[in-house]
Amino acid sequence: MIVVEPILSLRDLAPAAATIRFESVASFAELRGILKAECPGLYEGVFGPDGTLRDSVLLFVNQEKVGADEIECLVLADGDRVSLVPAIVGG
Amino acid sequence: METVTIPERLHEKILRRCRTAYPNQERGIFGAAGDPLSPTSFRFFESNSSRLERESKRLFSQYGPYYQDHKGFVADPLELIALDRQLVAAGERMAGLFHVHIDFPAVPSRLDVDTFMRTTPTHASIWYAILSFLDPEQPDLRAFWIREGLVSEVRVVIASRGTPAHEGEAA
Repeated sequence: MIVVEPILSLRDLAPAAATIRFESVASFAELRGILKAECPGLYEGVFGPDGTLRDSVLLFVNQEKVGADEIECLVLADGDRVSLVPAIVGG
Repeated sequence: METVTIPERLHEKILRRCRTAYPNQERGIFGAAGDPLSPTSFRFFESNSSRLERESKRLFSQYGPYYQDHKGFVADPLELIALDRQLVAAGERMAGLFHVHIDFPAVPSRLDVDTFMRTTPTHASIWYAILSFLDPEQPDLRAFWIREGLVSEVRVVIASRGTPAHEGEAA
C-alpha cells in the first residue's frame, strides 16, 4: 500500500482524510495516473497541464526529497509514504 | 469584510516571540479545528535552511534585495511535513500563513502575493497574516485573502478584546 500525504494547503484539494491510500502502485508514473482519475482536484494542483510536477510543489518519499529529474523513473514500494509539499516562500 | 478571530493567547504568543526576535523575522502557520477564520493554534517555523539553495536565491533576486538584506524566507519542506502531521494529530488544518515585515507595512509584498498564489489553490480557505514592525512600538497585525491575484483585507479581532488588532494596544 502507498500512502499519499498532501501537505498543508494541498490538503484542501484532497478528499477529507489527511492521507490517501492506494494498493499495488509500482511507480510514480502509475500513481500520477491514479491521482488524475481518482483525485482530479489534487492532480490539477500538483501537476501542470503537461503532467509534470508544478515547480511550486516538492515531492518527498519517506522524507527523502525526489529531484525533478528522478520523478519519471521513480519506483515505489509497498509502505512508501509520498508527501506532496507546497513550496512556501515569502518576504 | 470578513473577520478572523485570533484567541488572545495565540496573539500574545506571537507578539512575545516576534518582539524578542526583532529585527529578525518570524514566520509560522495558524491551524484551525473548524472554521479557518477561527484559528485554534499557531506554530512557528523553526528552520529557514532552504533559503540558501540556488533556486531560492534566483527567486528572491527577481523581487529586489531580499536575498542581500537577509529578508524573505523559504519554509523547510521537512518542517512543513512535520507541522502538517501535528495539525492532523490535533484534528486541525492550516488556516493562515504568517510572517513579519520589518521595514514594510502590514500588507503583502509582490513576492508574497506571487508565491502564495503559486502554492495555494485558489479555493483554499487559507488567509495571509502579516505583523509589521514598521513602528516597533506599535506592531500592526493584519490579514488578507489572496485569491486569483486579488488581495482583500480580512478584519483581525483578538478574541478577548473584541476590537480590531490594529486598533489595540500592541498589535
